Amino acid sequence: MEKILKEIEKRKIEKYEIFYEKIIKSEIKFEQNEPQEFIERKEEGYGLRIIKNGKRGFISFNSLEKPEEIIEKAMESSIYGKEIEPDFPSEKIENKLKIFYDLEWEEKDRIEIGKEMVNKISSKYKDLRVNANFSKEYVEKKILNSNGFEGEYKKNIFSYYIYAFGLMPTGIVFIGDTEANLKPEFNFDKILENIFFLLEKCEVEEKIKSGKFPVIFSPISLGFFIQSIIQGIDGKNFEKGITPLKDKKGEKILSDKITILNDPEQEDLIGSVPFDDEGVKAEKFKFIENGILKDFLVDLETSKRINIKPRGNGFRNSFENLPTRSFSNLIIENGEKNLEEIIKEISYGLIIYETIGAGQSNTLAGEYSFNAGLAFLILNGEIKGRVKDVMISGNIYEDFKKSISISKETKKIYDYELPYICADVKIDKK
Amino acid sequence: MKEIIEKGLLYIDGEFGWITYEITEITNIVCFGEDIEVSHSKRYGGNVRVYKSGNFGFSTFTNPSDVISSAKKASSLAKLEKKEKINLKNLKVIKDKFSPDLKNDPRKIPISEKIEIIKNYNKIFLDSKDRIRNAIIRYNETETKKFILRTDGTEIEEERIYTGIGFSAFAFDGSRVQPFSKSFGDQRGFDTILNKEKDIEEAISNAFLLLKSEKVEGGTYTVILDSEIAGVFIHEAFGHLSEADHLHKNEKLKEMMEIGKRVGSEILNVVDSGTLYGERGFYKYDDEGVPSSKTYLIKNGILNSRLHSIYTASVMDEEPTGNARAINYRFPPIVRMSSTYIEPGEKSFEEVIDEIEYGLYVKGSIGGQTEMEMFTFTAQIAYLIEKGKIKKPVRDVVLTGNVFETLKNIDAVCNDLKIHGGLGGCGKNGQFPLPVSDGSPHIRIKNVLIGGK
Repeated sequence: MEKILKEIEKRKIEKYEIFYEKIIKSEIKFEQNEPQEFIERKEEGYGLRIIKNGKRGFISFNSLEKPEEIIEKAMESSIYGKEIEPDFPSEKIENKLKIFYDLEWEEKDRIEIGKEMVNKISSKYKDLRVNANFSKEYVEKKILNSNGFEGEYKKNIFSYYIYAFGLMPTGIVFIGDTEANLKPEFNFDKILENIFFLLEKCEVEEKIKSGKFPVIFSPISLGFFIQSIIQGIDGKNFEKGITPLKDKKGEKILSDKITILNDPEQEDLIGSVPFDDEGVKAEKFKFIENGILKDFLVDLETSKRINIKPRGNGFRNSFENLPTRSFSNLIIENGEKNLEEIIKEISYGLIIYETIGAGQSNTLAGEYSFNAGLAFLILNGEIKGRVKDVMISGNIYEDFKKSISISKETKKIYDYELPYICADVKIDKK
Repeated sequence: MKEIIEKGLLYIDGEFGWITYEITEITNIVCFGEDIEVSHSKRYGGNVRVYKSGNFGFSTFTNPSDVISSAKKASSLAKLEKKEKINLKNLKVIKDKFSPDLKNDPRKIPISEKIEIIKNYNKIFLDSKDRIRNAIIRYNETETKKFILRTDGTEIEEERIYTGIGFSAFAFDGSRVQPFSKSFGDQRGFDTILNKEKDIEEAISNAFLLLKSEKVEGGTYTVILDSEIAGVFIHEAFGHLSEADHLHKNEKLKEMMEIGKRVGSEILNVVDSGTLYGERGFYKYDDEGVPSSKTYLIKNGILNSRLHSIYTASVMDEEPTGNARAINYRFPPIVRMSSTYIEPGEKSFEEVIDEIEYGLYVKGSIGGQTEMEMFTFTAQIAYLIEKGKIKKPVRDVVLTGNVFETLKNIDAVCNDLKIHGGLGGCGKNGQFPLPVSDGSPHIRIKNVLIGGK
């Protein structure tokens, strides 16, 4: 870092920011029922953002061998770069959040857990094969800028996924689940219970009619909904005039049962941080409260352009990328009814656990159209067998604005916490 | 570089081992409205992969001098477990250096010239504010130099230079926003991104047209697919199913994918080939140092072959096809596609469309996804066909089906094969985007389910 700072000084670059990231990730991979591959990934790298003559340049690198060359490239990119008003944060942030637990998850232990889970699944379903991954990831981030901000934090992220795949009476299945935590503490039995529940339902095939019916979306299947919301409230899309929510601040855009918030302080969700990847203090904020759009999501650069206060939503995919607008932890607040009660109220409908092709429609406009990859018929308040060749389509700003139900139960999926949501939507059947 | 990393070979304790190292430089230019953003990236990194007692150990490093500790780590990881030993296939030892011969090398073109070209493209967008609200242009140039060393003495040095451009136009009527995107990418050099004015015009007029179009009616249709979306279809629907790592240890799936089984009509021939020089899916050697090859997945409607890494080929006692690929040094290679396409048939497009009483002409691709036998793919735009004539456009066309049913429903293959690269790529097991190409002539499929209003 010293070498780079020296070069910056030499060239009289008045505004700069250095983002540093270190990752050590160890993975135990099971393939086709057996432990197969053991991986260790080690990496550290830097992203350097400079502002020269009011224009921004960016370079990322993971070797400090040729600091002059790095700075030259950064300067070159700034000549043609975007004009921005520099305003890197200077506020010192007290790091009170407990997100680092110095814990191990021994490779041998992970292999044993995997073997046990594989055995439980394959003793019941001999023709299925299990793939799984048990990982520990150490992440360290440091930010330093020309306004005097210096901050760092680290955390360990423990996670695993497991899925069974193969031929069942209703066709090929891919059924699995995943958990992530800041400590290596997991409810493996609960995950297996969920997998067995779904596999049992895949023994029998049911038919469903085309039409508009109540559909329950499981937390995992809500990806399409979240993708549209994030694009819709993205400050950059607001700045460029291409979000359908452009003139909707303060207005009702979804059902009043829906509240969506950014919460960086949930200590049991892995996205918790004291500050974002630009050094801005991460704040808890309800972007959509009781269906009403409260504000747009900004990072530092868009914040300046559209005059919205930054709340710590500038995150990078890795040191190789500039920040974009995103959530630390995204939470959809839960409702009052149990999932069971919601199911009981449905005389004819569908529950969807997995989707195929979701998020590949005109998501910016809120549109969706996908195959309900893993879905079951609900008949007279009970979940029946699997339905296949079913397309689900509509627009979230219409279908999730009307009468919907939200479950009391939620599921933590990495940095999301989501309930089940039931809405009336269009089903097309072959 | 080779001299430093080959020291690691001595510390590999296993039946077989690989050391790879790569130097990658990336230039991105993004133009969104009036803003131009330029960014550079340079990264160094490698990995050691060790095969021992049926398991793989894998360890990455960035500083070449860390190769020895990485070799020791990978060797000790491979020893974490023991299982039934599978001997890896004997491979040909290769010593080769390969650099593409580019007519117009993007690295030799000053950044100012690249910016000028993009600004000129952007002017077309900015001058079309009557039809579109905004637009994005993305330029990417990625250069990778890669070394692959193996314990059997193989030494490969391969260079790849990808150049590409993509753009999206956004039409907006105050409540609905309608994008239309196009992208171009391959390994032919800077010429790939030139002369795109017509395509930009097309993106603008299609975004505007779709904004005023109706949503497709849900139901089953006879469809004719253009080369781009037919390519995505064959990639998603059949390409992934041909990757041997899903089935090499699963008897039931092996039965389903038995070589010699009829999966389509006589007219259907499907190929995966990493040997198409200049295409985005081209490479001389895969990430295990196996030469790329041309593999017929389907020949005259019969399942002919599948895609392999060294390991899956060894387990199934078939030949490696050179399809073990990794997106970069951070990941171990897994079985992937290269350039996947349907071979051309004999009919003309006009002939095939003429025979359709009622259906859809589906063009361009937003993407696709598969869960083995079920798949979806999304069109950029589609037009209703009535009595052999192309009529009004419809939007939001997402097609779905079961692969075996759908392949059997392909009843016409035209004579106009085109292969498409683009800027993105394929995703599998967390490795995204891997550069691939897809292609096809126009094809007609009966009885395809489409979701809609």
